[in-house]
Amino acid sequence: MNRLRLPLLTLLVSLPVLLTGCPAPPPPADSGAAPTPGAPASASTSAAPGDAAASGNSAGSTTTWGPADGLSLGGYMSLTDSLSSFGQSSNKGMGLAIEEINAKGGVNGQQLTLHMEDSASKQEEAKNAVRRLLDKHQAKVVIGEVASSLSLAVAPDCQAAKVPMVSPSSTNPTLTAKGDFIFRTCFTDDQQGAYVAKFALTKGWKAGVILRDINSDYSKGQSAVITKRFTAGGGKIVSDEGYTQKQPDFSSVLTKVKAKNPDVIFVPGYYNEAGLIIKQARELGIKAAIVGADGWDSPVLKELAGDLLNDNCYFVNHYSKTEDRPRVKEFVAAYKAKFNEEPDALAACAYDSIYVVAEAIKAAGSTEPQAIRDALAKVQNYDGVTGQITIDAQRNASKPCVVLAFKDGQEVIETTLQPSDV
Amino acid sequence: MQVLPTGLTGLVLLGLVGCLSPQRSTRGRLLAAAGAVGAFVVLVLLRRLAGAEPQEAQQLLNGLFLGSIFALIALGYTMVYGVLKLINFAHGEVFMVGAYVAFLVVTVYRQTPALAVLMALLVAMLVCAGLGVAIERCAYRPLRQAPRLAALITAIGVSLLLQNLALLLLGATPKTIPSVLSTRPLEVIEWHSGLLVSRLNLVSLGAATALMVALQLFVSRTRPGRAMRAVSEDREAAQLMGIDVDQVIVLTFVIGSALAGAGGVLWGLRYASVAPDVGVLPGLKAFVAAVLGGIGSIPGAAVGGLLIGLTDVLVSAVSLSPQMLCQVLLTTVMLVAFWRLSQARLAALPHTRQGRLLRVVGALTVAASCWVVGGLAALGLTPYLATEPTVESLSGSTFSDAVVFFLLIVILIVKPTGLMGTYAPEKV
Repeated sequence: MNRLRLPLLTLLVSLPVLLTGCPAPPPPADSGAAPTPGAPASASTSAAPGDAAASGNSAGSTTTWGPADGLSLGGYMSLTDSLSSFGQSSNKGMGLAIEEINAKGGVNGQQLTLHMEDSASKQEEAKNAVRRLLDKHQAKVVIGEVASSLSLAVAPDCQAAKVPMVSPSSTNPTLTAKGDFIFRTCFTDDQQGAYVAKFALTKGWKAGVILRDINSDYSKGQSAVITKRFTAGGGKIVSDEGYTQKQPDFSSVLTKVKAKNPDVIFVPGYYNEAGLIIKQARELGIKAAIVGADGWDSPVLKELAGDLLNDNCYFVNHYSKTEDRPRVKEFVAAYKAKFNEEPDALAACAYDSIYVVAEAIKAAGSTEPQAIRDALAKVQNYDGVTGQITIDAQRNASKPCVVLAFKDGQEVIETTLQPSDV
Repeated sequence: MQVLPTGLTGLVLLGLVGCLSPQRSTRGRLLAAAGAVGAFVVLVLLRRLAGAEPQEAQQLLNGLFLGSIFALIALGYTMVYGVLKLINFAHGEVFMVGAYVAFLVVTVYRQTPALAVLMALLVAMLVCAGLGVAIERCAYRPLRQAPRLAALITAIGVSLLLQNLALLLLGATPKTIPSVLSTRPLEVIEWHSGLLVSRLNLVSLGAATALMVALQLFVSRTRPGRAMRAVSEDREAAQLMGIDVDQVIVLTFVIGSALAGAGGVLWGLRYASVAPDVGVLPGLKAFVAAVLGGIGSIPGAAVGGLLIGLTDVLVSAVSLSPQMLCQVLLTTVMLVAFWRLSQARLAALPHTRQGRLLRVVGALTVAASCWVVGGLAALGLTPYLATEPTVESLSGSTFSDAVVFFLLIVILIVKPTGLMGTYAPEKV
């Protein structure tokens, strides 16, 4: 027995080392060879990079888009763990934009390189990722995160390093107030929450319940705005409930909610919990509408909630892939050709953010972070996939939204709301 | 109106603890069980007659379903502690492996639901038992003679190793388990009582109960079970009596891990989503359950699990104003402090009718005065309590986890041996 013990132990201990030691499939390695100009999304680029990344096996891995020696940009996204659906989509959206720009000759004659680091859905990992981007890769611009808590965690680092940070889809209002180097190319929760409340009010719903993630800045911020706007518009919040990320059981809170008999349940959270909440609410016989925001945008929501989604569930989002605008159609076609899947809103937001950064670098005519920052602040009416992007004085972008419903498991546009509506 | 349901809910809880307590006679236990069921029925009728949904009773059921899974996991903690005096922190990860096995097996057998559930339970219990033995052999046995702290740290190490292995092999993206057992409420039960109980809930509660009863019978009625009890009482003496201690320890890991595996399957079927860190929070809560019930005591783990499940659910179900929450907290802290300070003097009171009366009256007076002082302090603190202006009352769902872990601290101060544990002085 004793002779067996040592090898066994050695094997057990060395297993992770052996596994990590394996060369992880380097996702976009072949993308360095730029596709033919003019046809940036040539189908010849296999869907392998996306698949390799989507399998999520590359914990803590990094990815590089574009040639190794181009102008260094840094991206950090949750490629793994609970928010990986967001991170993977954003990674693909950004990669597509980088390849398109490089195929058209880059910016000011220089190719772009995007170093993508994994923030693993955790604040401390996000901080590490951004440290690597700033110190090791000397990134001129940092682009990321989706989750507001993660963007907020690293914004002070970018501000201190005086490197502009552009978040494609963090909506918490306090983010850009962290400093004059912090930008975003999407709407804020002040606007998004107002859209959610407005939609509920136009539907004639009066009694609302809020279910929020108590550890998420995104969810808390949006809840506050929804409460304020919904109440101001004549609605009433009859119950304000909380949950924590990765909580699986909502039966007790939903039993309580059911007794209040609400017209609408607001779930301004992320897809994992939203999916479980929808499923468990319907199983408990709650008929109320369930309304969320861009945090719902993931195929995982459909996996978890299934057919129950078709029944009175809505969410506010940045764009819809079914929109009838040429810019959207081009993007959807290119994305499908490259990754063999439909782009969600986070992919679109990430794609736009790279183009906005490229515009700014072009306008700045320089690769100095300070010059890029000044140019970013002046971006006007950039025609993005997710709508017109104009960076305002608070370094936010004011944009329209779509409200999506589900029919036979597919997203359909319920209505569109403009900034002037709220 | 609110007092009556709350009181009845309390009665159900008391009855539940009473009927599972090994210290009582069979008659006492039957009475307690009857009391619990009676109070529960009254609770349902009370709401039904008022034309409302029986929400308190529903919450009790929700807690029972959740608690039965915690109980299964807590059993593993308590058994291993019993024989090895080691908190096996890798136990939550064994549970996680069970949930992943459920994912694999159910995906394969999704066409035949009954077979899928049975196979998942069977395979998960086998795999987890094997894993438990492997952990014991590789990580704990070499440290059998080492200081206890070394073994504890190793347990944490094994836990992290398993979690990260799962991360590497299976990826961080949560996997969705196909639904094979309907989670829709059964209409028969809903029609008669207004209670929502799904087939899955019944299967899950049934499986958990069957496993716990089987374990209790095994430990109390069979030879290996007796050997296990002997080892947990005094390892060296047991060895002198000719018991193969190593074998007993392996057996303990087999059973404990198999139960965790079964818990993992039931959890996975219920919540349909598995990730490498799925075992962390249930593992910690089950640990609290084991301590609450009295670590080392098998019925204690069952009771502790149920109570933690119920606490988790019932706390989520209440709403308190921030001042009220503050008052409750302060009162608890004061009562705990008072208990610590006057424990010796209370014990010295004579065990006569008079002494008992004195104790009850004293306790009530102290509780009431602590409540008043806590209230005044909370009032004073009001301007400093952080709340959002729109929120009038805090929902318990925002702090149910905190309450569960606060309970651990209270238990460790007031009754470190837990509800059903026995005091074992450290042998020198």
